[in-house]
Amino acid sequence: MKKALSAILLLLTVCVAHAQKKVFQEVGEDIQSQVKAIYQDNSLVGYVVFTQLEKASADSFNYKITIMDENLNDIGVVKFKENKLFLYGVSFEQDVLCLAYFKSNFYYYEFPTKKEYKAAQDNEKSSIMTQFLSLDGKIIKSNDISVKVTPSPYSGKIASKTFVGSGSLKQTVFLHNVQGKGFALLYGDESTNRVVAYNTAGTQLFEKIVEGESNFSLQNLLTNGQYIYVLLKNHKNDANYEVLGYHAADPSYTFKYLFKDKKGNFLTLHTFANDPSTGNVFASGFIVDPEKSGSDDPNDFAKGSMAGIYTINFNGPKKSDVSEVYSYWNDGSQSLFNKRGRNLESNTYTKYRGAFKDFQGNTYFYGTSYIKRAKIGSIISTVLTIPLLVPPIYISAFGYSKVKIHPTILVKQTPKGALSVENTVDGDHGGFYSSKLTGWTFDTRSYYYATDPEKKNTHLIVNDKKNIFIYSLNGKKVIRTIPHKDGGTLTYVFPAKEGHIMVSEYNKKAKSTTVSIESL
Amino acid sequence: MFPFKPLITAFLAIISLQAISQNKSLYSLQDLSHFYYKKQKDSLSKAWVCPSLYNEKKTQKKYKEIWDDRTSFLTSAIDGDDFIHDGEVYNYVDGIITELVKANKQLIPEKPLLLIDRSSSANAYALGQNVIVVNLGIVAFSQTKEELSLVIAHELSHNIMSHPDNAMKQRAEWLTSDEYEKNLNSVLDSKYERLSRLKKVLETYSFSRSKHQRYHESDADSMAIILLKKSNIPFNADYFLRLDSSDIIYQQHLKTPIKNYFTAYNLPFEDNWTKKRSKGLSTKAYSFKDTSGVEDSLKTHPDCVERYNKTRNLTTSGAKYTSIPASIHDKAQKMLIWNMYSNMSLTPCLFRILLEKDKGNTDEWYDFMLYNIVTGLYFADREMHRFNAIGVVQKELTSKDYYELQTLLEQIPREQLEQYCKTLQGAGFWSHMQSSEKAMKTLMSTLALDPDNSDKNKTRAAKEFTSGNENSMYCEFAQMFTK
Repeated sequence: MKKALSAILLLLTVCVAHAQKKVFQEVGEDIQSQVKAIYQDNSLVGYVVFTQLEKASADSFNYKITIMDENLNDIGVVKFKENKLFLYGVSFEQDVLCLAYFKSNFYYYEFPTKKEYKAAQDNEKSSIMTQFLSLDGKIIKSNDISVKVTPSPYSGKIASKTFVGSGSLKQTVFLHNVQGKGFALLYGDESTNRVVAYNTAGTQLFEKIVEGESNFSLQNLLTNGQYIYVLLKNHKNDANYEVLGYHAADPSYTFKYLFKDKKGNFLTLHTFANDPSTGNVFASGFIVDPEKSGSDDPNDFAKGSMAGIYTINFNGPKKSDVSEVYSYWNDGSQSLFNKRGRNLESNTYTKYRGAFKDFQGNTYFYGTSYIKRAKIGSIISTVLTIPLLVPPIYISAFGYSKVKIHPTILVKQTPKGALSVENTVDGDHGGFYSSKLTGWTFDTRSYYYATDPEKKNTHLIVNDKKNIFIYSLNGKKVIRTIPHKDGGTLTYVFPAKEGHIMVSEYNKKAKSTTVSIESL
Repeated sequence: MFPFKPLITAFLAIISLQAISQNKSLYSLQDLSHFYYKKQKDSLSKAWVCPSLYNEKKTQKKYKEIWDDRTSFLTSAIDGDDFIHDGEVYNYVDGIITELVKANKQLIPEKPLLLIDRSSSANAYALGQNVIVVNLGIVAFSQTKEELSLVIAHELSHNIMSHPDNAMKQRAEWLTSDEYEKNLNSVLDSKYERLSRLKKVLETYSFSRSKHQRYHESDADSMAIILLKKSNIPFNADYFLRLDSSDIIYQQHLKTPIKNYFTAYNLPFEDNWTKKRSKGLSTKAYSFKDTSGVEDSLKTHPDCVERYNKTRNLTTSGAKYTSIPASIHDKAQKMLIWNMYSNMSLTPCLFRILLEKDKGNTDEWYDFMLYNIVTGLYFADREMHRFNAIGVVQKELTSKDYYELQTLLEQIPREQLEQYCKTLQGAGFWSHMQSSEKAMKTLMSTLALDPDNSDKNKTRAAKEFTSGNENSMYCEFAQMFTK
């Protein structure tokens, strides 16, 4: 009986859709959705689907938040009415969900006439809205912090018969839970950058102006216990990072750390994360060799533009708690690398793309290794055609060296700075590319890692051109190889709850996508 | 001649054993609807011609669309093997229909076409055009012939009173009515809350439809009681109350801790596998207002309690009820479990097996299915489909035992699962299994444990299975790898 009913309802929907396509199409145009993962202490604990349902009045919309658990099961729905919202992040602490939005009564709106556009612009009010939801679906509190936004050059221009309020926040918005306390919010607008802390009732604990060196951008926000860490990138120099520290329960506490080694070298940064064992914040990247740093291409890299790699551990609240681990190869102190950073065993160079920590305090740098070879043919051709003037110029335009992708390399850095190759992860193979023309584009791999605190293991997920490789640090091997394309199915993987990945499979024939949360 | 007698006896015994074991098979591959109803499907498609009822062109067109959709709903269900025509269960249900038709010739001049749906849902439905569908789930759920007869009589009544056909007409008329068009257009006339207005338009129709449907259900109940009385089949209103619990099979508790079911097979077990270790929201005490349920006003069926109250004084007094034969129940249950397995719904499938064990059922076919589930899970894990094979649901929807079983299937380490497969391969029950089941063991072993995980190897193993077991019901599973 129920089945017949479902079939009939389906038929009804189809029939109605055919009959009044226009109505459904126009109503559907107002519906927009954003999907965000919910995090607590860097662990994925669920998902929200934030949906704008319809315009409710001249300046408000009806919204629906669908909350899903970490297994993608719907567990609740919350509905509310607000100005135009854009969801930046969702965090969870002590059974409270905190959502951070950009809210405006002008931006992202469409106006039918220029007059209405102008009137709305004159009354423009934009803010960062934090919304606190309890697990019984109640909106505990909503806070608004006014922000200043400059309209983009395209704002007000006609877009399919309408005038659109266009513009965005100068800096992105970050949200993170603060263990046992509440949430930390980091944002920046045209006039200022601020870090704000809330308790789980939505009451503001403090608000502080983020004071970086100069012309900086907000890069990340992390917490460790009740300490809040803000990462900034100083644009005065390309490799100048700094970390500012705050305390959720002690507004007077401040902490500042500038990234520079003792020799005054700048540091690039590829990872800013929490140690899975201690929760302490750490940062890793390259030490830039100021004498050899040129343009960022595989050729210069192979000439030794990087002096080594580093890890900075923020082990405590004081500056003296910071432990800096620098591993230089440009001084010839590493038996594994030559002074230019070439791996002497594999004869490869590696531009490390990130790093993670194991549960013993070691740092593992990962990246795609490559070999560099001279283009003998081009050199000979140039020599032979020198008398002809034009051909050698043409040949030289393509460069005299080529690069080829090699396996992913995992280099272990001990807390004392000793380097060793932990393992290589063989990936998809490729041919030689002209290093002058392609830059780093020959490296098609992307990476992320998943920590499993229960098994005290870390998995490195290598997303290669044809396959996805999942490497287990404890197992010291690739435990799964998933082809991106298998018959008519396209597969992708995404982060999921601890110890798992989300596998998304798109069936080309059925034009349908299935997702599955799979154990690593 | 004499010396040969024992040999001949033995030979005959082997032949008869073979015959017995073949009879034990639940059904053959050719009993699946896309085989069995192939000819009927073609003739049905031709025979179901939409009658010309309306002068209004657009209403007739809409009516034809709805009519044709019903035809394609049925034909695609046949193609998708949603139905089965086995010997025993089909004949048993069909026997009830024959009895009802025979005693009610004036109301049912022609015996309807019966289809047995493989769904586990305790349900049945009337499609109109003298077709009724009875789910395996309702056969397995019903305890007596009289209970099942009531369900069948109820569906026959829908057809007698032309409810499905009338519903199609009403729908066509409504969808082409000026009122509907006006209502829809008014949605676009409004600047705000368009979605809410559109939902209201559709809900108004659904509400009025549901209200009618409720009357129809009550009418069908009343007529069903008449059909039963004329057939001398006792009616008991208590069944309506029992129907209320038909959807809560997975909210039942097991008789013993989950561990016991596994250690009985000498499988190692750790209690923490059944305890959710996730930090996720699923482990939190959330209590959002339930919005998943159907609004009372939209329910098509009156509450079972209401149905009971309306009909309880019609209960046949002093009636004797006939239990559904154990063989029919058993077969329906097994067919359900196999169908769930074929669809890779492993947790509900395993839970039903454990419920059978609780009833003291020692049939080794269930051991065979437990092996299939374990190897199936390991295979799904290998293929990165473990999560979907388990069918993870929220704790609120199931009993604690079901949730623990689901958690076990989710959290049992891969290495242990492999060990389970290997241990079960050496279990004693295999000596009593038929050749097709032993061949399944080999196929599952290849799929789950063979180091060669290539599609080619899986296809080879599946072809090997199908070539030796052309008629086996298990071919349905194997064919997924040969296609």
